[in-house]
Amino acid sequence: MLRLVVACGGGIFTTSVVSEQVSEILKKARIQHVINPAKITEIANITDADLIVVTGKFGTATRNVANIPIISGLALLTGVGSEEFAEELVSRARAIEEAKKSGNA
Amino acid sequence: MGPLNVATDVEALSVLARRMVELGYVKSTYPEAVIARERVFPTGLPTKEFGVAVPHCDVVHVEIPTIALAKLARPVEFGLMGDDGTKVLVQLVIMLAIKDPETQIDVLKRIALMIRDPDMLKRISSAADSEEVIRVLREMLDC
Repeated sequence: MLRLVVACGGGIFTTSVVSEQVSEILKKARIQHVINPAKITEIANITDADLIVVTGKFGTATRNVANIPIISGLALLTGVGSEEFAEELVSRARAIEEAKKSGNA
Repeated sequence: MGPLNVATDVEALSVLARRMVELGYVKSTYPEAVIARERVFPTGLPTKEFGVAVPHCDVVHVEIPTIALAKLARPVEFGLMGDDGTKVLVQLVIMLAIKDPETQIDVLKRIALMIRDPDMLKRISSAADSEEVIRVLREMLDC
């Protein structure tokens, strides 16, 4: 099960909307997943997720302690590059699932 | 009411927010809260058409869930969502007073879809008056 975190500043508008869209992308790709919301200020310390999607760019200050990959979901809000985002999300998700299966996670 | 003629993001937020207080949609704490939040977590989005800002703040300041929309007479700089210092020239401000994100998720999704749709944005920016803007919004939001 792919564990995702979607983070934004306030945890209201963007997390709700981006989480829904991320979920739809993964459902279409038949990737089982669970999504938890978070605030951007919290993501540095998250340890129990496989992938973090943030709405907006993030500085180097937002490094995650467990080296969980962080990708920007801004494309889902602006519409610019949303297809590329969907492709990247699915290919990363599949790579993570593969790694888990072969015990490399 | 014609396009809003302001020079800064704070002015734009202030005018919209104060109007919402007057109408009883939000508490008197809302204007300060939405301006403060925008400073820390800006909401400028560079869509395919023109910059759109989606300011909002904590649900505790909201009485009645509301969307306030303002076309800006001249583009105003907002911070890019994600806070890395980049600015977005915004022409449309969609202020969201959300009370319960879970039950209001459908409206939020439709707003997001609208922002991603250059045709919808063009229709709003070329609308002749507020009635037309409201018609376009209602059509998109199905309400």
